[in-house]
Amino acid sequence: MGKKIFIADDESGFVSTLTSRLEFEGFEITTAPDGKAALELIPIEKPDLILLDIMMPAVNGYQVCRELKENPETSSIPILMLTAKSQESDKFWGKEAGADAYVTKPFDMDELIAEMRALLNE
Amino acid sequence: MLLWVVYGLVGTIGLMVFAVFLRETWRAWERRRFERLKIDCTRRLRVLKYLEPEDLAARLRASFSLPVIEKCLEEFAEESATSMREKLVQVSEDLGLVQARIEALTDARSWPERAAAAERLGRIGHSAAVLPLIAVLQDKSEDKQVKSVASVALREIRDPRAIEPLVEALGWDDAAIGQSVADTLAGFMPQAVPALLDVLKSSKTDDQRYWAVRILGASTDSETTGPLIAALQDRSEKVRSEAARSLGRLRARAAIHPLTETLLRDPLAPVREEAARALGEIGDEQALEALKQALGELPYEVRAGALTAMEKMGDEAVPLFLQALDEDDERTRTQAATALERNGYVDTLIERLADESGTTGGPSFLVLLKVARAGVVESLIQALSLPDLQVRVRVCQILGEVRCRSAVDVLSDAAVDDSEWAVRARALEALIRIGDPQTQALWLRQLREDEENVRECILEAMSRLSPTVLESMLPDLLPQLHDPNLKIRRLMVGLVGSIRSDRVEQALVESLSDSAADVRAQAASALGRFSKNDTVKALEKCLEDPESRVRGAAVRALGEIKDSASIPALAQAFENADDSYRDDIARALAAMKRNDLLALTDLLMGLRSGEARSGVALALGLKGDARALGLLQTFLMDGDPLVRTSAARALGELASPETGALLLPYLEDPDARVRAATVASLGRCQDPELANPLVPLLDDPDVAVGRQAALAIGQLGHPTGITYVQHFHARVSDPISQAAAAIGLTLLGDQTGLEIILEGLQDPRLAPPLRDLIRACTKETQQKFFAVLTLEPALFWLEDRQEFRSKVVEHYVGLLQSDRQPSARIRAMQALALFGESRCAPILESSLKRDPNATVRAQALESLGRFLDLPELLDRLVLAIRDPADEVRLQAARTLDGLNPDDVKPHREQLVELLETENDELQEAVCQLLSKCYRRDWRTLADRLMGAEKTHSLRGLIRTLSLIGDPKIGVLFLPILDHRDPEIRELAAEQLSHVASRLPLESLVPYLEDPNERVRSAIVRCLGKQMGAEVVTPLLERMLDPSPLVRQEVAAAFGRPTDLDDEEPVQVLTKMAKDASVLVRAQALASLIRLGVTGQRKVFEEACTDLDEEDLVALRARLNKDGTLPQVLEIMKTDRDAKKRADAVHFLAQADLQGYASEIVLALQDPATTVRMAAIETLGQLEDPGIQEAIEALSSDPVEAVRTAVKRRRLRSVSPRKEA
Repeated sequence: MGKKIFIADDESGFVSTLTSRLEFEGFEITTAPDGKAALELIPIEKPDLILLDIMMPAVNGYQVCRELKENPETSSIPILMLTAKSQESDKFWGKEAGADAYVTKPFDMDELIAEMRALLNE
Repeated sequence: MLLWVVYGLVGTIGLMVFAVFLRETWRAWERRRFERLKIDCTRRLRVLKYLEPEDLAARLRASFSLPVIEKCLEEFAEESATSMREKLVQVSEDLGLVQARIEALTDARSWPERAAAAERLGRIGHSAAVLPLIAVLQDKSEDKQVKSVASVALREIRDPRAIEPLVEALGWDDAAIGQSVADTLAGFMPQAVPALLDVLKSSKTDDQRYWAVRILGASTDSETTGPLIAALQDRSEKVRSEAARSLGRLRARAAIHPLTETLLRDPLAPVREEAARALGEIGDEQALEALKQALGELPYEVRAGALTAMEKMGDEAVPLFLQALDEDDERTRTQAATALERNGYVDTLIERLADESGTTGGPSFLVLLKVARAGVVESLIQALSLPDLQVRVRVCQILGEVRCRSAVDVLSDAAVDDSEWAVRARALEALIRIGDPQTQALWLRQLREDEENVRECILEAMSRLSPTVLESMLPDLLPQLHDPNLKIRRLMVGLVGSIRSDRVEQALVESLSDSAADVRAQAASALGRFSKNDTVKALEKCLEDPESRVRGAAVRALGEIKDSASIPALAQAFENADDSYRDDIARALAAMKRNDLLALTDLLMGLRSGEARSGVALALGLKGDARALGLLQTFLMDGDPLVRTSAARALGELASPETGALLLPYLEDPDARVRAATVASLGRCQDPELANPLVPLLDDPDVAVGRQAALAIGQLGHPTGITYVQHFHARVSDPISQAAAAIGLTLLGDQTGLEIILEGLQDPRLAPPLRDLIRACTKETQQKFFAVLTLEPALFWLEDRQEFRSKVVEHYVGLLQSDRQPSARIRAMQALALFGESRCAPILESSLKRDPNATVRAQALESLGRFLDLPELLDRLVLAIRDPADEVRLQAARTLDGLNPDDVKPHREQLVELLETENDELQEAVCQLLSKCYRRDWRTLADRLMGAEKTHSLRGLIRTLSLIGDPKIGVLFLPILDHRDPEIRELAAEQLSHVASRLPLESLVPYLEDPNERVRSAIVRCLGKQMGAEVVTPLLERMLDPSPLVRQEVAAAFGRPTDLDDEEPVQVLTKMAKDASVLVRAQALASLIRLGVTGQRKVFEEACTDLDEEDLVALRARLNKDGTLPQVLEIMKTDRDAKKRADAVHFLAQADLQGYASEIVLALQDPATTVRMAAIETLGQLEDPGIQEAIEALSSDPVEAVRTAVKRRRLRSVSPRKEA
């Protein structure tokens, strides 16, 4: 059984591409289309790693990240922020929110997987 | 006429103006003439300067006036060499100028003239002027200005004769002159050094020594260091300060040690501060090391000075400055922060911010926060222009945290212009925290920022503002309720929810339809705080919201509004309520008007769901209205256990004797939740008698019921409950039950409760349930609990173990030293002894000696036992033996009893005196103690016994000797059998029967006639112990004794195994088995069974049923004590005759079934059927599960009769339950 990865992103095309590649790599994938759904599902799913987009409707990635890190049930799950935003503030804010790593879109898929494996201690 | 007057006036004014004009013209002409003459005179002087002074004077005098010459000489002297100046001085003298000025100095009427004369004399520089100038200084009536000029003149003359008077002048009480004189003397250095050193040594005037130190300090003479060091010990702080300052100025390395001493020991802070500065001035490694060492010991007022001095140490001092940032003293903190900024360390820290991970609270961040709190912010403000994003963000946070007003401008710029939104967000947050009203417009403008994180930050920061401030910004805030970001909307609802306004209310009602549940819930909560009836309908709609948190918020809001119109909707809400807010509905209903709620009884009763009825029951209880009793009674009979539970809880809220009666039957409810709720509610009924029915519930199969019972018994406060709750505590092992038992015991005032609670609060396993249980108790129970513990509630809730321990100890130490009532002081002693807090030993000693309350003294003695060494403790105990109060003496005896008897032995004589007490408890304790102390040489006590006269003393000695238990002691009691006091005789006979071995028959038999039946029975017992043919006759005589007590002893005596023929005792006992007294009969039958005579069992059982409870208990005790029961047990186990064994089973069960159950169980395995059946029959009466299991094991017994007996027992045990 592969490690459980949770992807929260509102771009369905991107999610489906990412899902296929990660499933090929042997991960088990669960997704959420927005921050609100992510906040509801993650405590139930208890994934091993969360890939979190920042720009999402209703609740953005930073807010999801902060709430997950404040919740004792989910605080230990590593979070990798994915975003098209490249300003210095975005990275900084991600760190402030408790994210463990930060990858800027577009990214090389191999690099992303390497980053994920590092966070999963594989 | 008038015209003439005008003409006259004009004329006069004209004349006056003309006169003034003439005068000024004349003066100008004079000045010009004087200057011309002076130039001529100077020219002449240059030509004639080689003449002798006398000739020169004559020549000049011939051509010029004295003022011209004088001025000319002065000016010429200034540009001349020393030799020429001396000649000119001579000329001045020859011309009489010196004398004239001296006369002017002494005689001129106006002070300006005298001052001018002094000045001239100074310029002339003739030594003849020295004395008159000194006289001026000494003249107390002279003007200060003149004195000052005179002093300067003396310096110009530089005549060493002036030194002495000048030094003397230093001692005058005139600061203005002092400075001037000091300046003058400074001009005489180093000639003035010896005189000044003398002053330091011998002057009694503080000012004089002060000035001397000051002048010496200004010189560079190496001789001055020693005296200046000595001056550090001067009695005047002014002198010491100046000496320190001077030594610093001189950079005197020799003074490092004395200055360090001054720094640490001088009683006055300013002097210490000067010493610190001086060490800093000296500045070498040794001095700085001294400063560093001393810093920790310095008081606040000196530390700032020391820190300034240490700035010279550079980086080495940084740790000390960092440490100083935590000082309480503001000046020290500022000083340290300034020093850190000046040496560039603050800049280093700012740079390090860039590398600090984590959100906030990195080490550099925290230090900078302290620096900023100390008011040192310049470097931070400048850092806002640094390129690193993280640095700028953190700096904004720091400036906001310390509310730095001077950073408002720079933060405002950053809030708008910074290229990074993270900085803009934090800058705005900082500005809002600072709260400058002029920046309000900026915050609101930035609320329209594109970056949602900035908007979020602004709103989060604004949530700390007061509603009044927020209200003024309402028009700008309300549009944010439609922000696309859910969190911003939620924050916004929270923000405006604190503002009471119709516009806000309308906006919040709209938010109840928001797409996000969080926003809807937040809006509902806010509307609840508004408490307006016109929002009820909107909130009622929320009761159907798909999200339970929205429904819960709406319920709570309706509860706050308290509009009775919402009762039906609330009651209906129970139908789909979940656990998270069911109690809230009950509370909301309970908040409604009483009549409105009761008017809806039919509606409430008709609710279909058990949850709803349960909630309504609870609401009625919370309402606290006795009129709801009827309805609650109906709910108690509800088929749904949840409803019964709530009804029971509700009745607990009403808590009256009437509710107690209603609740009692439900202690046997088949549902454990109902039983637990019933027990809890009974505990609140304040009727101590209700504790009795709760006792069996301690053994309830459901552990929650048991612990609730322990708590409830404690709440009811019936003292008999202590034993039961103690047993419960010993029996249970889970922490919650132990905590409940501990609370129960505490409420009952039992000391073990205090011990368990205080130890439990330091036990991570027990502390949480203890706190949870107390939290769940009513306020009254909590108050009682804390009152019994005499503990501040705040301390109870402290979760940090170390902090708890130290604060609780402080609390009890304080309590012990206070004048609180004795019970509080006793509690404090118990607690401190428990903590092993040795600090309280002196207070305990004091209490033992002086406290007027005997109980307090006794407790102090007991507690001291934990702290004192043996010799000290023995001292206190020996003193306590003489205490007038029995309570204290008893405590002393008990404590001594716990010690090694060899240690107590030296004090045993004093203890013997205590035997005279009339207090039985005390005497018993002393007897116990003495029996140990005299065990090896009891003959000393025997001597006292023979000589004792006082009854109490005699009794005590008898008891003590009896406790020693040496068989030889028995003989000693024989003479006492003749004592006149029947009680003493009785005691002696009793003890004789305990300790004596064989005694001569003839010495005992006479006392069988003693009028006291107890003496006779004790003697019979003695004889019984040496049963044999020779005692049969006297014993048989006693068969007819009028006292049943004596006859009973006879029956017991014949039951003892002897070398007699079995028949004789059996005959006697058979006869006695028909005695008139049932007690004698029972004893005789017991003795027969003991002798192995069968067929007596039923008769014995019948006899036992005739005995009253008290006699039965006494009989059991006697049978146990005289060996009957052990012997019968032996028969049960080993006798060959099965009938005897079966009889023995019955007999043991009859005598003490509980006590012998574990032995009788063995009989279940007996090879004889009759024995097994006897065991089944007897053990069947017990409900112990282990025993029942053992009996059940015989259901497969090969003998049918045994199997039937097992079945029969089973039927018997089931049927009563069915009936129940």
